[in-house]
Amino acid sequence: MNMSMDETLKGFTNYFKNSLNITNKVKDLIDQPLNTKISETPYEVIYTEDRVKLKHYKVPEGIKKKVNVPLLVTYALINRETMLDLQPKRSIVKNFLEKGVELYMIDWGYPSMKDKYLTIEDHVCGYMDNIVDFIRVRENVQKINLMGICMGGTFSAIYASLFTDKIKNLITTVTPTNFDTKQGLLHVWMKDLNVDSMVDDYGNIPGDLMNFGFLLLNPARLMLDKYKGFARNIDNKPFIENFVRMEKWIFDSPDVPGETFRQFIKDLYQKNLLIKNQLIVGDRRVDLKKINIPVLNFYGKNDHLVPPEACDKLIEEVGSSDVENVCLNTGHIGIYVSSKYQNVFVPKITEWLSERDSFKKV
Amino acid sequence: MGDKANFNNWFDSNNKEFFNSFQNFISSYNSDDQSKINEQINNTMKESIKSWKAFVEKDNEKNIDDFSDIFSEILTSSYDNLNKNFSILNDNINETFESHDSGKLDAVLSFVKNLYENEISKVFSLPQIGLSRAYQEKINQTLDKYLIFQTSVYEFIYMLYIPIEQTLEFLKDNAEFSAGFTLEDDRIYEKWLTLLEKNYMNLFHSEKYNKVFSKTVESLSEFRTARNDIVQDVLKVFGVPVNKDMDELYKEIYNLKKRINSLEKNK
Repeated sequence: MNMSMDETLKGFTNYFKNSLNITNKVKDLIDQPLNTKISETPYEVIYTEDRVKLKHYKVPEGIKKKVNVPLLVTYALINRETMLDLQPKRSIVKNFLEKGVELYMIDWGYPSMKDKYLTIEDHVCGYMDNIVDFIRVRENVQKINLMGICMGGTFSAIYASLFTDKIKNLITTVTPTNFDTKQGLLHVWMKDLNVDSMVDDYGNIPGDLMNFGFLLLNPARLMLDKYKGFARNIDNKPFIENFVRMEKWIFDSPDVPGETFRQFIKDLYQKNLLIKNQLIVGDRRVDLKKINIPVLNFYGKNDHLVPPEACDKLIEEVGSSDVENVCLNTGHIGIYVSSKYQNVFVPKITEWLSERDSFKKV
Repeated sequence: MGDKANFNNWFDSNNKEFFNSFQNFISSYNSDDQSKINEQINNTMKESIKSWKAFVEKDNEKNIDDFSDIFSEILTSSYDNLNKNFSILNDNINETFESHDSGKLDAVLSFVKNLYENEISKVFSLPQIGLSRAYQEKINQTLDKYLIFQTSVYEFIYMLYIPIEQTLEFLKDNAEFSAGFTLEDDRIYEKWLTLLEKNYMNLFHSEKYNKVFSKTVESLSEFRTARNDIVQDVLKVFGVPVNKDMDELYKEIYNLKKRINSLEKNK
């Protein structure tokens, strides 16, 4: 049977009208207060430099420390580290603490226009190195463990290559290191992007602009189906609370310092210099072969932002033989927010670190 | 009489008249007598007109009416030329109109884009002259960049619409859909959504989409840069520091901080 376009649109409208009859449910929802707070695990800010802060999460009393070497978590400059502590019952941070792993975490803050000239070198050899030194002195140790997430993982790999004497174990999660792939749309789109005109115009790249770009990666799911799901669960309080928490995190996107963005797109996305050991940071070449420490590399099989092909080459390129790839059957965010994969991710890291936990006091 | 002599006569007499008039005007102004002032102004005007008339008639053996004819002739000729040029532009636009395929939306968009790039944008590229040359050029550039951005955005939005159009075709051919579905029955919706997602993925991986996407992002940046350039000119008039000034300051702070950090690390 063939329908006219009018009939099709009418049917479509009816479908949504029937499906989204939510008025009464919304009334129930607004009658009761919602808890949509994120990042609720207590922490202390123990170091600040410009906009950058270092958070310290202590293992709760009564829980024995399982890993003695301090673990520093480096998040990306895109979105915020609060993703690791999004929901009280599904918090990576809380899970680590309960397993006896103490955490230090970098909060990159919100760059302002005065930060537009900051390069990858300033982030890695400046802020990160200062923080690593601060922790080494504070904890009285020669080396610390480093875990990087997404772009923060790329920074961590660069750091581990340049400062081999300060890092004991490296964990990279959903970390792009090989940018020459057509698996992920970002990799395809970034190839032809005129990044110079963008950075020259904006100074810092606005978080909202990048969020819009991320929504465009899958408009059907991210702009339509997601909100249909929201409407459908409007009377499900825990669902709505977690949905709003996720929305808060997704759209809390700091601007990215212009020069860092320019270098990241040109040298990595467009020229793929890191994996070729040709990336220059400041006046030093990044040689992944110099990473001769244990490396644990996580990535998501269904990650459309940083696809497997962008992640899985790292362990072949580093100089260490103690390396492991862990591919989880989930997407970019699923590793951190799904309770199923948190229960794989956190115990795996805890065990892996604990097996390599011998350390020397300075 | 030769040209030089004519000019000297005119110049001398004009100077004399002007000097006398000015002297009379000053003395009457000091006298507080309003009617005298008015009289002097009228006299000055009359003398000036007489001078101009004498100058025009002396050398060219033409009267003042001929002078207005010459002026009108120049104007008419300029207008004719301008008209001729616009007529060429008009013909080009008509030609482009006639050659496009009006049946499809992408053909229309492509036509508008070509029309703008090949014909209309020429107007904004005309060289500007005079004291306000640089400012007019910036305004023209901003208009040009804005229109380029607009055409890119239309094309981009249209591309994003293509998968929706394709999936509507799917719904059109699906009899079940006409019955109306509820939340409990998501079969058609899921089918449609999966198809929509697939169509978007095909589109996003296409070279054409990438080209349009890059062009849109680039044209937005170019428009914003051109617009900011004008805004900065305006702000400068009011003594407000502009982006360029602030950038220099940021750069200086950045370099100073780097030097301090390096000194602190090496001490």
